[in-house]
Amino acid sequence: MALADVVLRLTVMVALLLSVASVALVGPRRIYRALRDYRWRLADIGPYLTILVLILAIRKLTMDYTSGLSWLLDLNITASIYSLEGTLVADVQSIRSPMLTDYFVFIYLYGYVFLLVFPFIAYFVRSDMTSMKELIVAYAFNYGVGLICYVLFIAFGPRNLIPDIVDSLLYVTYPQSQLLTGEVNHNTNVFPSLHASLATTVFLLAWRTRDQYRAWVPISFVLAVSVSIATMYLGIHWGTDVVAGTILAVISISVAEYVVSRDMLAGWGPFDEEWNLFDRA
Amino acid sequence: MNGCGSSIGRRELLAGLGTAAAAGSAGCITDLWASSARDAPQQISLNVKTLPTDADTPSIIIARQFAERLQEVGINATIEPKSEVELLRDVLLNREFDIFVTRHPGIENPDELYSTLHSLFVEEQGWQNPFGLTNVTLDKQLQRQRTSSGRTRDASIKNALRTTVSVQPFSVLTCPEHLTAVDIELATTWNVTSLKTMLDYLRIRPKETASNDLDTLRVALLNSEVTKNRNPIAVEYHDRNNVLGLIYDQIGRRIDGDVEPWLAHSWMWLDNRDTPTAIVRLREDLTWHDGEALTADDVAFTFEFLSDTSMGGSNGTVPAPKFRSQSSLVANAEALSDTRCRIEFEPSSREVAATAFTVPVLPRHVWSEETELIQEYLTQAMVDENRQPVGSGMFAFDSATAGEQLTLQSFDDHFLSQEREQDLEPPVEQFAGGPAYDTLEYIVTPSGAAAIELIENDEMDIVGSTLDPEDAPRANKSDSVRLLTDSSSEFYIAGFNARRSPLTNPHFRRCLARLFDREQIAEDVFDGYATPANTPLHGTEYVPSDLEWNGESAVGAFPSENGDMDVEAAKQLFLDKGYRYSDDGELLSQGQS
Repeated sequence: MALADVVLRLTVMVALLLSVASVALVGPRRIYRALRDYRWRLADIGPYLTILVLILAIRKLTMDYTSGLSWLLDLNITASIYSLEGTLVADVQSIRSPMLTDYFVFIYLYGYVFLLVFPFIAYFVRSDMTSMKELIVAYAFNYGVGLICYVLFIAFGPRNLIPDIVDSLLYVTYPQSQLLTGEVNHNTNVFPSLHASLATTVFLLAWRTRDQYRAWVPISFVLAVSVSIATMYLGIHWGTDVVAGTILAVISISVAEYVVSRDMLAGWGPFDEEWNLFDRA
Repeated sequence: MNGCGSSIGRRELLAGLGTAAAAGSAGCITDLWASSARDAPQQISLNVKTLPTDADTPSIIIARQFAERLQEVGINATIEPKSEVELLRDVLLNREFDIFVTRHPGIENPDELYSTLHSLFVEEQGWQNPFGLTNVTLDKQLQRQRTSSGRTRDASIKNALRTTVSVQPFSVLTCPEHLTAVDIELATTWNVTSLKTMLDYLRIRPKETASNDLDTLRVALLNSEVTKNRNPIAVEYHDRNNVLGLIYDQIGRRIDGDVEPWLAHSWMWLDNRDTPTAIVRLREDLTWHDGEALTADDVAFTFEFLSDTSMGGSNGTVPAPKFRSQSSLVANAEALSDTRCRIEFEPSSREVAATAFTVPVLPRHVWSEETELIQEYLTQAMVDENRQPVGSGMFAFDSATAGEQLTLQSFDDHFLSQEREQDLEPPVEQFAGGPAYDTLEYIVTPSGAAAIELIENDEMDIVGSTLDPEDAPRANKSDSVRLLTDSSSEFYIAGFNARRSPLTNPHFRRCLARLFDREQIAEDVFDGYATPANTPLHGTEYVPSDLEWNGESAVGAFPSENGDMDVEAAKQLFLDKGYRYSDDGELLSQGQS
């Protein structure tokens, strides 16, 4: 099936990128060693990971209902965003060339997923799980706030409001990708841009861990900026969405720092001492 | 309208402050009193609802350009893209709109104008007078169109169209061509059709020389509603009948313009009556998809149910929001035997009365359990998702996954596919044997471009929805896809809510109607795959010559200046009709609520 095809391509490409980056930036030996004593690591981050998985599950399971709820609330901000920023996205598209389009399509689909997944590997092998926890809390916060905003606001992207001014470059060059993006999100959920917010979050965390992963800082910076531009260049997001996403990223880092420095999630729910799901030896 | 009627205008406030500053003189108190007792005129606010690109590209372009022009002439215009279901819900059910722009499902026969525009339907739902138009002259013309025949009827239709154009409850913008794409291999060995009507599904057949068989016809569907909701009377999900029409068969079917017996073997008109009465004789041994017998009782039930889905259980009648053009023609329907049904009509000509036979027949044993009222003038039948539809059509429901696919199987007990072909007479005879494939698989596809790619990859055979004009070049360029174009009775419409001031004023609506540059829309937005028009029924003999397109709109020319709108000339249109502007160029109205 066509969707399976798109997913397979994505998986292969991202796996390839991850392997190369892991070998170059982390090193196979460290990964091997980290995998060997995975137990304490998992025990440590378990409560955090559960929160993230919960939020993602809620997001996925309620997708049909949340869109109905949005339409009930009926806060349509599409036209307000357009009158706020005008034809900014068209200006971004004015630099277009076939090569740039290929680049941004690649970044939007593959680069983005790679950017989000790689930190899990990088931070998992560290001898201290603080960065890993910050990463998870920041992601969870981004997705959580995103979910709330998506329910609250109805916002169509530029390609849906001004197709005569802005081209839907992603879906024109790679129509089948819409099979995948349609599964992941509704077209009324563009404010804020989670692409921009999560990508920026990764870069900000890379900056915090610059001592250990020096090369990751410029790489994640280029990728994060590229992802943010790609969302506009491809006609999917407004500049406003990207700005809101960037602000969300900054807030998510502060929240993550606050939560993790106090290890606030360590003992919640099933991860209470009595439950003892993992061997803490 | 945006609820801005209660806010205090800037000028009012300044005026108030000015008088307060000069307090002390008795005259100012009087002035203050006088101005506070009178409401200053407010800027006119209008909201334009339409579909986003994902649902329909031309609609959003037309609507947005229109809203921008409204702003240029001093109206506080906003644009609101809504998903298809939400737009139809607002417009057709809740009547919650100022102006909407969308693609109308089309008017094929002139009597549909009656339910579209007669004031009888102002309180109903569906495509029944969503505009809230109440015009005594038009009512008479529409009524005469129903009751007369021959040249008198033609003249009434023409007059009704003239009145409609003159008072502009809606503006026809352009008539698009129906565009689809098909696998080129299929197109060389088979006779392919655009799948615009139900009969097109039967007309897709191998050319005689071809021997290749097709088990499954894989159809790309650009609208996913039918994978979630299969209620034939839920107008907000299905304001067109193309897929559900395969499942629900009709008594009579329009074949090449005339209503011909379909589920009916024949019908006979009784003479010597003021109003037409017909005896419909059904074909023998008709069955529903669930195996129950389809009898004249189901036919009688269908008419009663469509006129009142509460079946007498409500204060008034709760008509189904669809098929009103047909159900409003029928006064009484009664089964005489298993195969014979007597139908008494409202005053109408036989020609018009026969259009009532094009309703889908609904099974009594299913829908009689849906008559419960769940709210005033709302029955269970109108909100049921009807996931397992039981019809009697050429295809029976097999399975569906919401948002992904819908599979139909050809129905072996259908009268076309049974070994009784000697029964069939022309023109039905040409469809003997039923569909040339067993399974019909609809696959929801996010865009026309993706559908064309999937046909190229041999994952689909044909597109079952109309493509956007922007998809046409992609289909034309492809070596493995052929673009099919077909005429269509659909049209792009800007509907005005005549219940809301200042849209209550036909002159105001006419001014608005002139702000559409129909030639430019047909050429730029549709890339030539559309023709500008003044009226529904475009291209038929019903349109009087003075309403045929002659280069400019029948309500007056678009105020143009080098291809763009001449703002001053456009503002003059409103001034000429008694409207006034503020110093800041805002178009004002007294008492817009």
